[in-house]
Amino acid sequence: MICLVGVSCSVLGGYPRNKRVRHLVRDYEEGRLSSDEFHRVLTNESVFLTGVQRALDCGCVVDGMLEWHDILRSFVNSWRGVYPSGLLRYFDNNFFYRIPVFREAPEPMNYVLPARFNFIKDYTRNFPVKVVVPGPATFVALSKNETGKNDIWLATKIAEALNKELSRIDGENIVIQIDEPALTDNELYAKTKGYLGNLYRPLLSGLNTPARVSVYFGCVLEDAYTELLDIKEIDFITLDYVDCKKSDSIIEQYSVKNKKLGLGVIEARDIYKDNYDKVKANVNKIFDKLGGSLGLLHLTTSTWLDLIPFNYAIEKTRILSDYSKRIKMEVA
Amino acid sequence: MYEVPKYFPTTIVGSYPKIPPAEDLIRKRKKCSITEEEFHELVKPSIKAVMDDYLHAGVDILSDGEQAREDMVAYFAERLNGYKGGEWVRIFDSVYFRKPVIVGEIEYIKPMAVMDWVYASSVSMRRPVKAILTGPYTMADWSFDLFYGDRRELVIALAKVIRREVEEFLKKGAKYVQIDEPALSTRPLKEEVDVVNEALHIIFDGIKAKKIVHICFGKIERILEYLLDFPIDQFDFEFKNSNFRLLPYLVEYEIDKELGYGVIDVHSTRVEEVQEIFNDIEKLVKTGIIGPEKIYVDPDCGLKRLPRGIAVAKLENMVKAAKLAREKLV
Repeated sequence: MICLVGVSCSVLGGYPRNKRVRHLVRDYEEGRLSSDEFHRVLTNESVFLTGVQRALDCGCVVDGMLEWHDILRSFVNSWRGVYPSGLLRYFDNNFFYRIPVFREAPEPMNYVLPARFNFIKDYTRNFPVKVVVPGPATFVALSKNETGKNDIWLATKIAEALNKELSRIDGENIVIQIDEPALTDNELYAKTKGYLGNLYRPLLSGLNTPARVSVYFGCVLEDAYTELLDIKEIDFITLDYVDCKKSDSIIEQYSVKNKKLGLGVIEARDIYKDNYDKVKANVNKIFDKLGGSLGLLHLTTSTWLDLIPFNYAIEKTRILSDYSKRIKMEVA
Repeated sequence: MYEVPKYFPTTIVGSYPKIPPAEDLIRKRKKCSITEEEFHELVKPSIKAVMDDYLHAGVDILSDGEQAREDMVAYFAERLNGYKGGEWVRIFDSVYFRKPVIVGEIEYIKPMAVMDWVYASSVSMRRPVKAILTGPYTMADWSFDLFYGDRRELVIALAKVIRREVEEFLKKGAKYVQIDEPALSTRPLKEEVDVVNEALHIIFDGIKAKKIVHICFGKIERILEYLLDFPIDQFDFEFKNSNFRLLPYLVEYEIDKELGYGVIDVHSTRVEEVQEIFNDIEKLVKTGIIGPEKIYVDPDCGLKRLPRGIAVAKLENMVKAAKLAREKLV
């Protein structure tokens, strides 16, 4: 029996750069464009993306994170105590990030989040905007620790720095998403295993907005999942159901406790048109397993859309919206 | 023929910084402003400049520097049936590549890279030139597939066309054939290695040349024990960038093939000192797992992202370090 309250959707994270943005970033980096002009054009592009998502009835919108070179870099460039170094493959993608090297506890010098979200809120008015940040477990797992202290200490300091960022944008119509892809990999998770609760307390301390955690690029490790379930400040967990076919089993085994569930059901790393029947069958498995305990199901993309070309990213947004509406109608 | 040193020969992995007018010619070729034949004729001065740099540095086994290739996947995709041109996706920072799309059955049309190799060989001062091809797994992984829907099937289809190209190289006299499979390290899983192994049998069985596979930048140690079954003579791995993390695993699994030993970090503009490179070579020798006759000294990967001056300086020091190794470690 299905006792579902609602089905909603949103894109998980960033968008790819279209031709204009690619040229814009290059011109800015090579000194051919002023900071004002760069941010003016970038704002227009972000506003366009938020408009697309609103028009497609996404429950909240992302600004696209268009100028971010990778999920960590903007913070690394803006914080004291850390600098970007050589390239390393970003999980199983043909995409590389620059390894942050921490020499001391990070301290924001220029805040990354306030400027971008204050301007975006002017355009989105009262519509919810999703702020995505890397989680402390993933941040420390992808970094080099040269502080002389252990990884738990560093992850805690990263959590505190992220908290300073988040507390400056916390408020109405903000949705906070913490990305933790490292929780799919034993070696990466090992750095913070058993301490996620200790990291999320300083990370989310004093915030009014409930946080959602997103795990992608594979199956969430069961120990990590149970740790997340025990963190009361986390309101929402999103799992990848494209690259992890057994997400339903994990959910069935451990339930979602009192949290809301997000499912990445639209393939964000490939361009083929997702098969509606398959998506619906997967969602039905969750309905069958959780039944009436599920108050809200949030559908999303398996990861950020920035690994496919721009036009396909827009099309994937449309598919996500369309399938979510159809599932919602059929369930109703 | 040039006599390749018996111990610690030096080589390169493949790509080299683009030398004008190569990039301009690639653009013109894409716009069909010049024919394929004109393109390969006009790109010769760039290839010659690369060869001159290699010879100046003193590298023993060379490549054409991949001057004709926009990137390692798109170049071949544009010359095979079944592909259509793709759109831009990001690799890192502000660096993108055009990820091609497979929309039909993959079919060989005609030799794709042989003409550049023939020319490079003609200006290599009789030093051997590697025939270097992007492997089927990497071609598949770095393309969007809208036709096959099954990775293994696609990889095998690509292996068959690569085999055709390898045969064309052999007809022209290639003695070293290298297949680049950097994508294999993105999914270091036994089942993926099995697919590549099957593909390499298609490409290499019965081939009379030195058979090399290059893999880089990933957790290769997770699959090393399965890689050792590949039907090849030589592995080429990146070591420097990962601080020689793979070395203990080579000891553990007792590598019995030749080893292309990456001692130059292609992601850093710092030029490694001769003594530093020598020390890194010594590090491998001291493990005792492999003799100096099986160690090929080279950079971690292609040099294309480096400024040309840095690339040649790195190669010069690499060659000097290999000479020092021949004097002190043999």
